[in-house]
Amino acid sequence: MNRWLAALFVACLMQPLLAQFPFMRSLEVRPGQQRPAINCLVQDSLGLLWAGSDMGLYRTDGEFVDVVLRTEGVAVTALHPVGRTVLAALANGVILRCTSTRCDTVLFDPVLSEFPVRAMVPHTDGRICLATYGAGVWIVQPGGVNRITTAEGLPDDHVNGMALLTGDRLVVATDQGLAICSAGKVSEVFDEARGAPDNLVLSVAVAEDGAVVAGTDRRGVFTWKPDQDKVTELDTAWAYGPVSSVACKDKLIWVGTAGHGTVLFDLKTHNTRYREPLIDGQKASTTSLFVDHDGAAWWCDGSERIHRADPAILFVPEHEGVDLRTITAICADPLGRIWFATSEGLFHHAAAFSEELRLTRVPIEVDVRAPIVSLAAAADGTVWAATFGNGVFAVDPSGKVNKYTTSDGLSNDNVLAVRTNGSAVWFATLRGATKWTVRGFEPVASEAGFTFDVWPLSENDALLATDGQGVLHTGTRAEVSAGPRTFYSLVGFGNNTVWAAGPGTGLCKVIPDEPSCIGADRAPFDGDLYALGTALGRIIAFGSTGTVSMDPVTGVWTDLASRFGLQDAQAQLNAITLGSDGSIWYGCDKGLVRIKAEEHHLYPQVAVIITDVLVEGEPTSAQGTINTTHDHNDLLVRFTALHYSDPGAVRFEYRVNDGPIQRTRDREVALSGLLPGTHRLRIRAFAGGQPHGDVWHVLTILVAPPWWKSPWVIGGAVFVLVGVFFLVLRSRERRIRYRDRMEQEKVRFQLEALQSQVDPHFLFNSFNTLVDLIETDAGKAVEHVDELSTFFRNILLVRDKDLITLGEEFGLLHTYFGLEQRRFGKAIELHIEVADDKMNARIVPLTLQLLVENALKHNVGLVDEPLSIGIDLEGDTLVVHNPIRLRTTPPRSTGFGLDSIVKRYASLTTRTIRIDRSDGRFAVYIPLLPATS
Amino acid sequence: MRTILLLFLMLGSQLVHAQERWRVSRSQVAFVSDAPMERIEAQNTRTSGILELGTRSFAIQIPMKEFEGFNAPLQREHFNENYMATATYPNATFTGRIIESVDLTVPGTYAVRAKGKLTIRGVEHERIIPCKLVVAADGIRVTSAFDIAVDEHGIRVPRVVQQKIAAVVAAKIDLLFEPGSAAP
Repeated sequence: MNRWLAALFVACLMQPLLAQFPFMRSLEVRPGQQRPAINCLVQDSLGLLWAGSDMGLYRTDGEFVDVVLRTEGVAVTALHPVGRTVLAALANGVILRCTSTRCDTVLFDPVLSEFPVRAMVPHTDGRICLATYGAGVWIVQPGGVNRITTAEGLPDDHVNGMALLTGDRLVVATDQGLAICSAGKVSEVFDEARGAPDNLVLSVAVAEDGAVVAGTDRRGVFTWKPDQDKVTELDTAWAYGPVSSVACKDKLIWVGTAGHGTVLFDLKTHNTRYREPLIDGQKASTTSLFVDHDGAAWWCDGSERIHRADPAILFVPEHEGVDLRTITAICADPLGRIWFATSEGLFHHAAAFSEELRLTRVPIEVDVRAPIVSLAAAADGTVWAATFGNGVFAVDPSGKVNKYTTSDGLSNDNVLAVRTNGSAVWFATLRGATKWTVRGFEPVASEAGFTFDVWPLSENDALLATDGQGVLHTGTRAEVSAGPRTFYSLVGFGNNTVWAAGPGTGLCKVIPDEPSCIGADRAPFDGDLYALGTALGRIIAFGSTGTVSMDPVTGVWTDLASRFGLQDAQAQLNAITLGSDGSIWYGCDKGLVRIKAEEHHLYPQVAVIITDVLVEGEPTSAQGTINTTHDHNDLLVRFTALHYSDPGAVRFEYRVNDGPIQRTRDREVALSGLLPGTHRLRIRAFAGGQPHGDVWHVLTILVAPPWWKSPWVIGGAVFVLVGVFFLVLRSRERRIRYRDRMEQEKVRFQLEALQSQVDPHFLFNSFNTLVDLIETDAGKAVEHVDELSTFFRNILLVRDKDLITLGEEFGLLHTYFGLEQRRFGKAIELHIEVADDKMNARIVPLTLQLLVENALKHNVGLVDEPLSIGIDLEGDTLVVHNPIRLRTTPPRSTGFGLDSIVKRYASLTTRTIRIDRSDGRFAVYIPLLPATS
Repeated sequence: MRTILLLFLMLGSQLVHAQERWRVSRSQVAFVSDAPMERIEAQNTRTSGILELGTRSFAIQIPMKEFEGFNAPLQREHFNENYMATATYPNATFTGRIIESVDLTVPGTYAVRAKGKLTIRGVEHERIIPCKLVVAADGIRVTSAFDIAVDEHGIRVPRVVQQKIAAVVAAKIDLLFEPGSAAP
């Protein structure tokens, strides 16, 4: 989508021909150097305009033109807005649904390329109805196309237009009359046979009251109420040719003709008629007419131009041959009539200005050298006209004219202003003021000299705007303005406040408080000032350099010329008045202007519309809040503010988060590299003034952080890390402690073993046995010493080991037991019942030796009754058991033996050593450790 | 051309109802360009056309090269080459229907409107053209006068000759349709 600047021009002010018509502006939709022939025009729900041409589809806000679709010579024949999107029918039989950035095909039927779609209307349920020229009405629904043709009772298959009535009924304009279709059938036909003025209906619209408004070929526009069967012709002597399009809103009927441009009928004021001024009187064919959200009409004419006419502003450059571009004074009377004076004379006219309503010329001879400079209507209906040089005229309600000059008591014949208050009339003259009551003229404050304006405060007192003497109070003779300056104009605002203004003074509040002036440096106070007025709670100042409104409550200034697009208009002194309906009448060098101002006209703020948001170049349909991610953080926000009366005057300010306020005319902001978090883009638009207050359109952008930065992930990761660290720390601590304990145990065990090895008692016993053997059997003695030495060597071999095999342990045990058996003989017995396949199991060295030694140490063994020590296996547990036959004298014991074994096992395995002393049996259960450990 | 062919085909397909098709036997088509500096007139008698009585549909084809008249032979050459590009767009056509439901088999004089596509120089425009029909037993005479805006049909008139060529050209048509007779 590329955009081009739209060219704008004010058609009305360029017209050489004079005609009464609402203020008209034209836009040129020219993408690049192309001149598309625009033949259809609609407005979407945002207020943006969509134009279809022979070259493509465009969208515009009045300032920029976006090319939505290029059709390469295939004409867009019809458009219909659906929310923010638009349905477009192409001449090649394709129906598209388009957003600003893409178009999707809704339907394609080659038949439609022969019978072009003239109109499209979506039903409330979403079905799309197509009016084809030659193939009847098509209703496109999910299952296919339902056709309504002459076979279904349609008067003709050539359909020119279509509109939606209440109850999902369609009103169809055909070459042979109107038809109403509902539920896929023709329910009613309205043609010449039933009283229609013309069968050839070219256009149709539906009014707010449900009336069908139909434009015909020969008989202009007629309205028809289907329920009441009432036909009304808008103009029985129609002279503007075929009606190619028609639109209506608020009792205004806009008629687009082929050859006579656009004609406006105001049904509120007896069908008063306004005609579009035509360039050189040339033919102008209006097509695709519609009324926009503001009540203004838009249309196209088959060229690259689109036109807008705003009924809020009526332009009357001439009327009945009277040139209204030279109005010198204007006022409204209590009957609602508008009085105005030109160099040709004094006239009045009904407030509804139109061709049919006549001007009334008041029989006053106006001298060109003494123009009427001020008009005022008194409460009794008398209108006073003040001339500069020729005294004053009074026109009473019956039309009788009286002339008064200095001879009647007027201070001076050069009168500059006339104001009325109840029955009193005040005149500002070159020699102070003059008051008129039923008693006659009475000069007031003649010493004030040159007086530009007078503002009556009561029956007796008034304020005078003087030349160089400030604003004078006639009662107190006091100067109430801030200094003896020149003031041109006075205006009362509210009950007792009066404002004054002169060249360079700004707008000065003179009573009731201390005088204070504002806005001295702004237009129009920097140039010639023409008049002050009030409307809609604002003070309005007209001058040579501009027209502004000021809200005394908020202090907001608004440039009205920019708001209404009347920059070039030049007004005359006192050429402004307020009509009885609140409209502002304004006589300027372009003619008489009626402005029906609304609140929003007098406020510079313009509503901002976000048109497109592109994330990384991709459009998003989100509204209000944009959700995106950290890796899609380049945004382009396009916005606009619709101010069609002067689109180029709109200025924008935006602010990203709490950054500085930026000004722009680009209508787009690029936000790149947005950090994760919430961002606020605030935008405001204004035309013809400065922004006031802190009113912004806010777009919230939520940029999601990457997943690994989300609090859950971070929290989880920290938790896992801390956990792992803790576990490592703990296992390390456990390993250290284990190693320490092992060292300790080993040292103690070695000590223990050493103790037992060097147990003097054992040695003593062994040596005694040895002595016996030497005496009796020397061979056995040698054997004994040999075994003793083997035993001690084995102890030396195993003492540094943590674990030894069961076989090795048994080897040790046998050596030891052999030594002991030499001493005890048959009094001790050892029964080992362990399978050989367990011999590889591991055991703490000297465990069995220690246990057997303990058993021998604590128990008595007799030859008759030997102490039988058994070692057997219960699963993986070795059981060392002996009957309890305790010695009468308990042996000396360190108490370490068993205890140290228990501790060593505890450090090696979770299985514990169990000691059982039941049934007169002492048993120790020693867990065997697997061979691999 | 495509639309004409299609129309002929369409007409043909509808002939199941034994519709009567009459053809142009005599024609006089003329235009007048009344510019401030010069008045140009030209006539053409080579128009062919067809009118179907039942559906009131018609198709007319005017060979643009066959216009005679003009103020000078060079003018005719300019007309053919510069403005009408008759080599590219040899014919002007008007196809459509008569809106008013008149019975073309009943003799009489009728004021009707012909609505259809007027194609000149390849640019199509929908027109509603009022015509007078004089229906007799052996022929229907159609006369009409209407205006053609030259810029509507993509005809660009250079600024230097704008005083000599009117922006709106007045056309006059006088056609005689006869049953079954071929165009001359």
